[in-house]
Amino acid sequence: MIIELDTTSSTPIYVQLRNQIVMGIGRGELKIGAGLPTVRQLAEDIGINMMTVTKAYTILKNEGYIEIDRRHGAKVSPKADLTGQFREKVESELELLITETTLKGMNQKDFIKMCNEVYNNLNVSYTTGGAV
Amino acid sequence: MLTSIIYVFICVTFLIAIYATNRTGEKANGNILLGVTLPDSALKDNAVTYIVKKYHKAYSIVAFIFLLLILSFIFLRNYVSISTVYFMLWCISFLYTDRIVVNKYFNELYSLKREKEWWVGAHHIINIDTEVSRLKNTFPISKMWFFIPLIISLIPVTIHLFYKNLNMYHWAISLCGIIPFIFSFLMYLVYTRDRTKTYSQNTEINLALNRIYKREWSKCWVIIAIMESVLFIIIPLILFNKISDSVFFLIFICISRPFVILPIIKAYNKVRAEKNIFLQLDNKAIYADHDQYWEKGYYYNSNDNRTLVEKRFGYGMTVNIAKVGGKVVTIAIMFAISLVIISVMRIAILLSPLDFNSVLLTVSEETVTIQAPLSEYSFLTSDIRNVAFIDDFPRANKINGGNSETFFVGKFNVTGYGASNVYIHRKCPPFIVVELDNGWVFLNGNTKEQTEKYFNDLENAGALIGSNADGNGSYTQN
Repeated sequence: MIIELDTTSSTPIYVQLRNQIVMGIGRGELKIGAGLPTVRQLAEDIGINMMTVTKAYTILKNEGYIEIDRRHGAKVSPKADLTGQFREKVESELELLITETTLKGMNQKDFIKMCNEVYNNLNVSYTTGGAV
Repeated sequence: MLTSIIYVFICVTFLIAIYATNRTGEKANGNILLGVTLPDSALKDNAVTYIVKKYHKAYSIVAFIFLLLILSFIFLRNYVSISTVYFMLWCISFLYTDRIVVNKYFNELYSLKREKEWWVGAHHIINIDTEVSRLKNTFPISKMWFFIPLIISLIPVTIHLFYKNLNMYHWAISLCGIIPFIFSFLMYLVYTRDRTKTYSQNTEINLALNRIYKREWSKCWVIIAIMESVLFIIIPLILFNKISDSVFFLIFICISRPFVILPIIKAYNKVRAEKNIFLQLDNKAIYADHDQYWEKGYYYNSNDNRTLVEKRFGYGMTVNIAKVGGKVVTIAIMFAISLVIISVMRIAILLSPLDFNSVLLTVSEETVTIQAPLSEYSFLTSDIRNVAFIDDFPRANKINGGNSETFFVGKFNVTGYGASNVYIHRKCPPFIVVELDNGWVFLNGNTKEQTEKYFNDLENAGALIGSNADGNGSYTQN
């Protein structure tokens, strides 16, 4: 997959990197079991510190999107575990998003409609994460 | 004469190299023309073509003028010091003028681009293909290939271990082969560790182009290392056959340079040609506009961790001045250049007596003193056995001292005489041969009259001592 990073964005590079990889897995550009570059390789190619890549990989690993093997580098391995903790996270993020959109003048119907559109456009594979 | 030939050879090689480099700028490298990133549609724009034509004319005129200036070496061929200074001035002014021309037309095209808002891709976006990044270590040829040149370049040193009575010069020459080996290996590392490039949304194309890039450049540096090691093994072997001359060493180095850069040109052309073919077939090309980092005439990008980056046109790498490493390298290069300029100046000053001074002979009651450029020699009048004229100076090899177009000064191995002290104007025969108790001395003045006067002085000095000794001094004149 092609990762696109904006060096002038207010979003930190490690967050951009994490988000891009999650989106890549979702879109099926990174298949399950596909290898990811090692921390060193990726840091060299982006031209950033290895710590930044390590940070992104650690987050991805803790969130259950990738596995890190000491010998073979990182591997895409999304785990389908809708734990209570994750549900809470999604809920809190949705709360914030709904509040923001409502304050800006969007009603519930439009919001749901937009959600459906984005959902369909993203075309995230249900099977990516296993039997969800 | 020989020095001038070497200088002319270096200047011509240099001129061709710069001319070829300038030419690469006027052909689009992907979307980069004259170092400026342009959209496809703008590459054929009339205003752009006009600037490229002007650029072509400008650098061709500069090259022609400097080619004419090389001809001046004909008039300077008898003056080592002046031609050395001239050579250095030629190099500096040619590089400087070329830089001005390149920057002028880069700025002109860049201003046109800004005016017409021909922006290509995003400014601050970095694209990475994860698959290319993951597999990049498999693209270059193995560094194990460097064992071949390493072993070859260690042969002279190994041979020397079995010889006795070797001086520092022999060791230095045999170790010289290690320097190009180290340089090639470092360049191999720079190219293989260079960041991968994302040319297209299509991973297959990115993989192919990055593989070609890494493979060709890694191969290029291995080939150069092998070529250099073979070249440098020849030198000590020849030197062992008694052709011990530093001039020969210099000529050898100069003549071999154009051959050594051939693999670089080959790799560069191959990578560029493949890139243009692949990108023409691809409709998902990714363009990034990094012109703003180049607008100062050098690369300055604080967002880029690399110290060395590929040049936008021309062959090789340049430094990222925004990084500490880049600054250090630049300062080191500046320092090295200043050191070379100062050294060349010093050498020219040192050599200037060879061009302008002459051999002076002073005879006192007891000693004869010869003052020649760069050296002085004296002997006792009582040591003189014989003084004679010769019209042709025999073949001679320098042991130490100086040999220029006009002079032989110092210790020489003269055919038929052996190791002798020689202080002669080579182009002003006849020459005086003085036989001493412990060897031979050759000298003359800068005119025939002067030489005759020196002969008479020596004869008188010898006769005086001779008559004092046994009253029967005999001096021959051929």
